[in-house]
Amino acid sequence: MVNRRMKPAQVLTLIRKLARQQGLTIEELPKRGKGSHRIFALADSEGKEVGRFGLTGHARDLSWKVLESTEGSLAHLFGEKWTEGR
Amino acid sequence: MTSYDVTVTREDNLWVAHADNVGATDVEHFQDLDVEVRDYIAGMTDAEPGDFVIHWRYEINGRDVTDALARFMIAERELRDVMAKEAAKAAERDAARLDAIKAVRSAGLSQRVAADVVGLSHQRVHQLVSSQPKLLPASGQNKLA
Repeated sequence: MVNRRMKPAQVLTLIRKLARQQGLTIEELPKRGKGSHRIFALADSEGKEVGRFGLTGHARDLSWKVLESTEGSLAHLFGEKWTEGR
Repeated sequence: MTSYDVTVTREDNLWVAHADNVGATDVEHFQDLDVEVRDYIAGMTDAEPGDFVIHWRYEINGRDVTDALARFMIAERELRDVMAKEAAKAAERDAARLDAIKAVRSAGLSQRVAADVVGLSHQRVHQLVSSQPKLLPASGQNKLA
């Protein structure tokens, strides 16, 4: 469970670190909309997409709900409480 | 067309949007919600931002304020449409008015009379004419009135 607020850049750094540990690669996907989001796909060693997450463009701490949502969406890769293991 | 239910709540001075079966994002300004949430859903689902419908629900401190905000946004959009149409009509009128001034001036009447025709001050007519390329007779020529 998320226990500390993080900015989008911190979340990205953490996911990069965990992905490296798991042997996964991160690729930023091309923009589709006019908004500020950066969308990333995680791929396994065979290049198959195994997860995806989006980060908003603002530089503030992300809301709890967004952090929890991101944590939940990548729990199958990094474990249930991966945001606490930083 | 695919549709997504998005619930917007308020948390720590951020607007938090949770899209069912997609995820959540947050924005600083309410006006950015549509663009940003579309951007987020499009990126997460490999869709184009205009290729899906969003059903918005706004919930502030547990209270559903969707109807009130939706009514406001519809009224706001309708007003903007009306204002855009009015602006287009005004531009059309401005062009026609300038043509009328030019026609009256070309026919030999003074700027003061042209002003009387279009219901403006002669100073304003002077401004309008001066801002245009020189197509009219020089001042003082062919004055009949």
